[in-house]
Amino acid sequence: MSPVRALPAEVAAVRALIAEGYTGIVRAADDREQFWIRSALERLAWADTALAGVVDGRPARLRALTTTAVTAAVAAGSAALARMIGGGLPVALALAGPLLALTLYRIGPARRRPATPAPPELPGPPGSGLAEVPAGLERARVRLVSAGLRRAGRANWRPPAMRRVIAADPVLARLAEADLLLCQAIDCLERYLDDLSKDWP
Amino acid sequence: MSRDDPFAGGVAPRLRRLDRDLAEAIVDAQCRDWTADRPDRVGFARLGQVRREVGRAAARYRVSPRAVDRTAAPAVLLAGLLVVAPLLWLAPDPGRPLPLAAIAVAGLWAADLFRAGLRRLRIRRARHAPDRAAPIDDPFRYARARRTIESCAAAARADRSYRRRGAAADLEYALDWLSAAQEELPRVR
Repeated sequence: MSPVRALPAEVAAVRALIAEGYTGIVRAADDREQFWIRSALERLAWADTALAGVVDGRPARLRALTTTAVTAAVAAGSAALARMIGGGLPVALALAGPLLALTLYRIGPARRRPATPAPPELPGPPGSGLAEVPAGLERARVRLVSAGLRRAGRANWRPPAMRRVIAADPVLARLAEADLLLCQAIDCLERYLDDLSKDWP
Repeated sequence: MSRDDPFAGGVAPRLRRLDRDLAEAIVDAQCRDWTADRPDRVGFARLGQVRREVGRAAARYRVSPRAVDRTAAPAVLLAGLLVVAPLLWLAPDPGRPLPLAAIAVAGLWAADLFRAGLRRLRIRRARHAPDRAAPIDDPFRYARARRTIESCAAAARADRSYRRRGAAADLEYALDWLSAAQEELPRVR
């Protein structure tokens, strides 16, 4: 029986593999502004930020705190306003209901801006070439998927349950998002290599 | 083709519906890939690219995706009925600012708790549910998405606003990715 590895360690390993792939692309690609290369680099950086959000739980806790504080403030404020007007509980409720709905709607949906990735500038010695990078990224993906499956639990390994687990668990949703971005990066790289091998004019 | 159905609403609701459809297909295909039920890591990645471009076009229309699933409304209803109403009924003089704030916060947390419970219940029920066909394999879904994207792009091209005309270019990219997702170009190896 293998020891159960903790999620942060697993995520750190995946991030290291992604960073390795990133530097591999940066070193091997002659034109970084080429469409496929640029998209692959972008997606790798986004996947890295998504994985960084898995380990760091502070934003989620901060959001919960903010929501609570804003709710309390709006309710207290509308009650005080109702007092000032001279109405009782019905007036306070009539004021607080729409105001709370409005504020929770404004806060509610996670307005995530895709963070602008900061690419590490590493003009080091040329590595083994671009052709080996997808294999390394696929290794990263295998680790990521096994971490996700372990997180979901063995009972949920059938697609109908898996869909709902991904929708319900924010950590797993982030892992799935990172996996999607990683797959896109691999796909972009493979299409670039495919174009190169066709040797079009 | 200019537009699919002039009475189907404006561009924004069509884009939102398309985004929801795509998200469903992507998550389903990703689950099937993870569980080795239908191993294919390319199809859902390309559908994800389609969704990204559609989302960029939707952002030009100022459409924000709704992060509300099917558990939100019952959870809020339960919290209102089981927590907020009894507290309002039992608390002495709940119209004062501090009690009302406490009741609102209690209702918020109760809604969160109920939501987590309902989600767990849904997962538990889905464990033994019969599986359906993968939506990513459904050719009609691709046809519908293509029609929607084309009609939205036509409407965007004819728009008066400069910002919204830019959505047409994003939707063209989305069409490219859609056909790439459907046809699965041959690769090296």
